[in-house]
Amino acid sequence: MTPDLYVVGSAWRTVGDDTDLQLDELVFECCSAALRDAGVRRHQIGLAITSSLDLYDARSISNALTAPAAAGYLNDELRVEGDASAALLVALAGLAGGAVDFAIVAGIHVPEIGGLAERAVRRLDQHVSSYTFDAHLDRPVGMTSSVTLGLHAAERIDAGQARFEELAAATAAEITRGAARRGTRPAVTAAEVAAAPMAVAPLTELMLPAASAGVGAVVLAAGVSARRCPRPRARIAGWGSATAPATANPGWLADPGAATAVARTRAYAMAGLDHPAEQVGSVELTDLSPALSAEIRSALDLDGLDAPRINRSGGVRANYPGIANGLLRVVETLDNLADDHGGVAVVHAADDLCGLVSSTVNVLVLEGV
Amino acid sequence: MRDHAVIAGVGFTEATSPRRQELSKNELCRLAVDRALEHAGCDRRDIDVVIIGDIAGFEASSVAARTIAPALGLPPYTTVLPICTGGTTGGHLPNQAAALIRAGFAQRVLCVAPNTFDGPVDLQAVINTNSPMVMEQPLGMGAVHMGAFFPAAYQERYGVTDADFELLATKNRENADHNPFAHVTSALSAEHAARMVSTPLRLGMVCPVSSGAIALVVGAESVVGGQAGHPVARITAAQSISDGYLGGKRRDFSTFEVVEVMARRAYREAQVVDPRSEFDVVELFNPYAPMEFMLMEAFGLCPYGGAPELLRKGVTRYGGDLPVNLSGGIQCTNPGVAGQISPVAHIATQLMGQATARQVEGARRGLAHSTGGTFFQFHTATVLERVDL
Repeated sequence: MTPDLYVVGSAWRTVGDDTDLQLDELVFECCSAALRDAGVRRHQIGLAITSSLDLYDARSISNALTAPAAAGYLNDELRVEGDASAALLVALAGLAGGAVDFAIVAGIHVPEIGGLAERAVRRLDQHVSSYTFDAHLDRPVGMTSSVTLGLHAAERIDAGQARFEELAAATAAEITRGAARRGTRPAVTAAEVAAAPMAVAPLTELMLPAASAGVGAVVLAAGVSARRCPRPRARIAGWGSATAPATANPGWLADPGAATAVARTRAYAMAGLDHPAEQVGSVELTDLSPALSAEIRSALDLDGLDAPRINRSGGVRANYPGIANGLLRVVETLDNLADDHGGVAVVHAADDLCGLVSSTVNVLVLEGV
Repeated sequence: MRDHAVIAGVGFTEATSPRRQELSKNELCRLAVDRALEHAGCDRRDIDVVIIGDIAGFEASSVAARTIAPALGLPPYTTVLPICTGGTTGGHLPNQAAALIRAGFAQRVLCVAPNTFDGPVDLQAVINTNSPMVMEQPLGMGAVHMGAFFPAAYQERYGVTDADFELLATKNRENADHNPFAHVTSALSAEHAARMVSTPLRLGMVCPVSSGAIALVVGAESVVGGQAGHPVARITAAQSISDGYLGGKRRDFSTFEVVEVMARRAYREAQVVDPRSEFDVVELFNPYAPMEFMLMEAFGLCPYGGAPELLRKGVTRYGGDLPVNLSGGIQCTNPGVAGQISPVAHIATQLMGQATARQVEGARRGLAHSTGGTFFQFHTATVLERVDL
């Protein structure tokens, strides 16, 4: 029997240089907004899960600062070092197992650096990514998450499976679409994407995820407790998770959608999706480069999905708040469900700690309520 | 399928100091995993999820799970869940494994607790970086200094003597003599043990910096129970709690106030009514020996201020009716995340009747605890019960 679990509230805040709030204050503000959105008081929360990294937060055990601000004070709490979607799955386990009735998940990516411009955030993320790779084999050859994306895109262009001009056009369309929602980049043309500084050949800066800072929170609840909330937002009908191979296994480059396919199989089976392209109203992808998009869509069995239903928010090339990305994709999906007046939507989230290498992929199926 | 979560396999590696460690972090974890899987009678192909802990800010890498997991020989696409909550990371691993199993998300979860301290040259300076930047870091405190606040206040409030603390530390080193995975034993000379480190903590009361790894196989009782070929340990309560960030939030350093809150929740979950009589064996996270007294009191095992008397009467020694830290505790072996999971690992083997240290005959229920963070902000509690299958 599928557990009866819901998203009952959410909040998102993109963080810029203009903020005068400290990290814990940002987390407190965002979690408070999510609780208000849910109509739930802090003392009702039984489990607080944060997603963050010490090296972004410039202190060891950084969850010591953020957990109390995320409703973790005197509460059962945990920090997951991965995309916030993994934290969300851990919270779902607490609910499904009956340990708690309400849980909150906070995704935190506000690098403690002098400025939060896209290049500065990406520079730090890449630096941390280097430290996440194996110290003996991968770091010395300069592996970072962006490098894996460049290697993949170059291989696909070389094999005739992608064209640079098509990647630029797809990117421009996404960034422009996102500019009307929570995107951090202004609308652009395909020519501007193609002419942007080269980041990791053949990918230009604008083809990489739009590195940003942000904090998100969702409030989750189980069964009757959820349905009695003022405005339950979505039922979580299915979920699945899988981790991609490490560098020693060439599968990370040859078939970067394989982990997605494993996660999708589990999630769709739970949700009863047997003809997903016909049943799914929208999908938010974490396709970290435009050269990946088709492979991820195929892995999700969504090849037949109409273009307007894919990455309505603009996706990761419109706004990519690092480790908090999974929550942004959920928040954007909640908006998609509201726009559609219900239906079924899919969230695809994957961490970018090592790019395509060892990435944990989570697939969620949400139903509007 | 939802089910009770049980610990079916435990794998320890021998502890030593980081500078004498000959195995890499990946090799240590692989060894611990091999031993845990063999103990559980389980194949690595059966593992659904692997949970790996780290404390990134203390280590020479970020999210060590990313490099450890590929070294474990698990099947492709096995989900890897990295967890870091500082000093309670290890305590969280079995608790979260239990959550995944109780929810029906997994049937077999592998918990991997690596060595954490093999990189830093000056660990106290590294630990200082988890303190509040403006308020407390400039004071230069490391873990041992934070650890001294509590016994100093405890002594002042209850009149406990240095001799009581030394008796406690000696008891734990004698326990460690019987634990082949312990680092410091009674081989520590009295002269060394008496050296003052941070008042009132003397060297013999302070944990070593150790290197070693521990792995657990946690599974659904109906799935893994019969495979192990020995009794298993059911996780009947899994709790954690966070205090505030600032040390000043502790209010009263003579007690671990929030542990009392957490203990009530854990006992409610495990249906423990009288902890003093219902636990057969207890492992409390004691990087500084006097914490054992304070934690016993916060867990309701005796009245506040009453723990030293139990030690003097032999109640908490081997052969007493409430043996505490028969492994020697963290005071004798602290490899970081592996140290944090070790109370659970030692209690599990006690309940299986396969104790690594001296066995408490007939042990059926035990309590394990871990703590960490600045001024011991975080705590976990795990209650375990023997299941014969």
